Amino acid sequence: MMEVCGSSNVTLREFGCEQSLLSRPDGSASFVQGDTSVMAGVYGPAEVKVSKEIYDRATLEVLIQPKVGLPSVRERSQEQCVRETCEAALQLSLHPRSSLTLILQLLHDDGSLLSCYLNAACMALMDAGLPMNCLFCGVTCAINKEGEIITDPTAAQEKESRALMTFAIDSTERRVMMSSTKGSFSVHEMQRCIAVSQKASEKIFQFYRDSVRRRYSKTL
Amino acid sequence: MKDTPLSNCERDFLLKAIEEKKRLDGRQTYDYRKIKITFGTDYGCCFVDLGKTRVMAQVSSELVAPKENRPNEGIMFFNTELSPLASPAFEQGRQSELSVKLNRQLERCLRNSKCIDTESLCVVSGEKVWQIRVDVHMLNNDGNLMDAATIAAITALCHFRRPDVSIQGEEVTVYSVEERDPIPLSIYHMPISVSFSFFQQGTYLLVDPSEREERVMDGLLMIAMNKHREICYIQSSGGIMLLKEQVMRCSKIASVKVSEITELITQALLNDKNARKAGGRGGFAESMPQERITALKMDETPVETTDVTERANDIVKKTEAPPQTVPSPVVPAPGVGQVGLGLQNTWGIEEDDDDEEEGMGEEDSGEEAGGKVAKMEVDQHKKEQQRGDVVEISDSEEEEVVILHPETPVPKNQKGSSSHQKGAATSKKKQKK
Amino acid sequence: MVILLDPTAHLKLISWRSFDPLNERDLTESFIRVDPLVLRSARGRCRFLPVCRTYIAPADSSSSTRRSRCGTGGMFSCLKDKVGEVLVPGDEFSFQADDTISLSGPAKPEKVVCGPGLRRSGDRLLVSKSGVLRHKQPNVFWIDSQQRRYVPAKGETVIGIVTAKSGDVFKVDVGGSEQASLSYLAFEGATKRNRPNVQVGDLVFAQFIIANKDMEPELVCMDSSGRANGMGVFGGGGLLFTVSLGLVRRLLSPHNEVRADLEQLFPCELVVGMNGRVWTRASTVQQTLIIANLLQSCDTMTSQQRQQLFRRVQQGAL
Repeated sequence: MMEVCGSSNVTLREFGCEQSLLSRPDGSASFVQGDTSVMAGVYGPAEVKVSKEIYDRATLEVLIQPKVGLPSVRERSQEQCVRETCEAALQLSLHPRSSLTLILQLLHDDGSLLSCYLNAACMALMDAGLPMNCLFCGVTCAINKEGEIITDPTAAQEKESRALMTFAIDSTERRVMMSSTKGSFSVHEMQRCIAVSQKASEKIFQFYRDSVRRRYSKTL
Repeated sequence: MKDTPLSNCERDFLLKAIEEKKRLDGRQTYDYRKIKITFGTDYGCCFVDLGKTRVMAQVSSELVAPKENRPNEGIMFFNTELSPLASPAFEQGRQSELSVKLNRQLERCLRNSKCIDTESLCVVSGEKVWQIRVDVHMLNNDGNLMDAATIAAITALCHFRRPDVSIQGEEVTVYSVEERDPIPLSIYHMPISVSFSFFQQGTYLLVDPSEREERVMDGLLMIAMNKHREICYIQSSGGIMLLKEQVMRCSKIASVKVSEITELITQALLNDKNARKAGGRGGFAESMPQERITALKMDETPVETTDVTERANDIVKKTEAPPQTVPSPVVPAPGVGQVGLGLQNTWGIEEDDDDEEEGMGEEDSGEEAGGKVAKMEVDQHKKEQQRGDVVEISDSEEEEVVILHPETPVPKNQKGSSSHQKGAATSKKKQKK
Repeated sequence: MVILLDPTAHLKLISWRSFDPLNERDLTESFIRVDPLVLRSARGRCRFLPVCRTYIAPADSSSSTRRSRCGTGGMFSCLKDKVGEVLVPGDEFSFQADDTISLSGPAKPEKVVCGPGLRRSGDRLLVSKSGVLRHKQPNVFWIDSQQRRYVPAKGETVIGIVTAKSGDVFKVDVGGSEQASLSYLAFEGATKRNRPNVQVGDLVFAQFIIANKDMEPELVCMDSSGRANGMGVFGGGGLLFTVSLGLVRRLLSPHNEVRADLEQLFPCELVVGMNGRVWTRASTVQQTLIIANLLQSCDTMTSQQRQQLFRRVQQGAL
């Protein structure tokens, strides 16, 4: 039952990020993982519609814009995943009766899209300077037909995989904040994927820290 | 969300600056902001930066049935998306006046000017034609969205490749990119729009207005032209009266600008073609500006997985198997089945009847232990409960008793343990009054 | 001891003055009024419009905020080690850094005052914004970030745009999540008969008298003694533009380099609002534009680059 996972596949594709690249939103970022890329913008804390007002915390809205056509059910479910992760990371109670809007624009999809959304969202929230408990990142793992784990899969690898899991990992204790899975897998496989994601998240968090450090390098 | 309002002082200053032929970003009257054209990884995806204004266009194709009146022509479809990313004033999913206007202008500029050979998009006459869909997403609005949108749309159309098809008898085969090289669209000419904003009733004119300039302008003239100096579309809005000379002057300026921009687009397309031919990676990842301090990139990184399997096994081992939770169903009342533990029924019990509740709880547990029927009837009037067998629903006489002899514990003596509670409840009621 | 200004009460931004790294004044000093800041450069040409500066000591504001105290051992040194480093949300400092009591060291308990971006959670100190950790003698710490969205804080002076007149109050856009209200009586010399002349679209320089997360923010255009003190309607002939909140704070801190460099250029008036809005006016339109563009690019330049650029401007490159 226990297969040895091929170490060759456990890599993250090259990834990059640019912060505050848009002039209008309060915070913005674009995140690239291999060929997958996403642009994110954040407004807030800003005026809230009366119908959406919550008396003791900020209302967080997440909008995902596909490249072609209007948002469909797939985008809605991804919005939900991202929103719940962000709600857990943000200190929403500090800005009651205000609205936070996070807009994610898909630029190119080549696999691991949900994790790319999560990473772009985190960078944009950080750029906007919203108070957060912790950072978070997304890691996607695929299990292929041979039972090997592939992290950060491309679209082609996703298509051939037996199961696909995306985890949002927090930065303080490396806990799983959100999981979204597709396909069938055993408990062992899932725990292994979580462990791999936790390992991978360390690379991403280091990257977050490096990019923030680079950004403030001129005002030290 | 609302946009930041424009203050009177900004308005006055802008107009004063324009009178002195100065612009906020140091441009001259006829200068365009810096135009940057980049391409996405797949065909038909184009980003245009016009200063801080940023627009993305994506072209896609689909086989559909043609329109009845034009069975031999492909269909062009334009969709302008004013994403809230571009400005806080834009809302998602709502057709605002501006988006309708932009969409219509784009259609008139690119479809009605017949710059694309729609007849070549016909596969089977009257049955199957290609529908070319152009989605234009506004990513950042810093003025002059229209010019940026037309540049992005026409460049994306030039860049786009549709899948090859073959017809054998009745059968239409669509080949994937791997099987046959995709085919570019046939484009006759490239209409490019140039915007002129007018101030002080047409006294002053600026090319490529920025967002703040757009807010104070009196009127806008838009001229779409191709490099052969053919005007494809012209529109004036804002209600200013323009003289013939002004329009002529604008069209002359436009012809210069259009030839510059066309040159830029051709160069960008050529660069991309060469890069793709050389096998280099194009796409968004490559267009990220490396020199900026706000950007950072990391190469492919391996993830260490030495102890991953052990850790996973550990966790699974340590986790106890969940207890088997399928007990036999309990029947608390006739017609009611219950699986597992439920919460106690608190229906109709008020908060201030604490002691009573406690007493009852004891009683209930005793009852349940006895395995007897634990049916409870709640009398809303008195907030009291009685044994299942001794159901008394309307007991107005008791209420009378209470009112007449509130202090005497007569009912308690008369009745059993259950009526003891009644007394307690009623005396409480009295206290409340 | 650690004194943490509770961020939920929005004290984190209360009077940034009190967090000035270069300000020598002691924090325990209660409410000092400083005359309108009229700076004259060495050559006496540069005039900065009154930038109303209020020093609000924590002691003064304690009535409106909760402060929590906690014993600490190595907290202070722990924070001090990290000064000047870039931190990201989720980083934390533990209170119980060393439980051992040093016999040789001073037995005096330590106090730490935490500004924006630092937040207490149980016995830990959490970083909630990304940026550079800064320190001001003796014991104030905060995170310096390049945020753009403003969150109103009591006592801060901001540049607002009047958006509406409704009854007795003006509605003012300050860039926060809610429009602030400004009573027409809150101007110097204003009475029920003698209303101030304020039009929709005017700029006002005003101070927050009420600003917390649960209430509608309220502005006034006079100080506690009823004087305008530089506040009120202004803005003829100048240009309004926005910069990051971090730059505004840098501009307002005493002995600031950016401002000193700017003074060398040409005479100008500058009004700096804590909400990231800056208004400037110089003798000509060209000079006003130069100043606006220089300031907007200051966030992404090192001090050498900035000085180089300023020198080029001075030599007439623009």
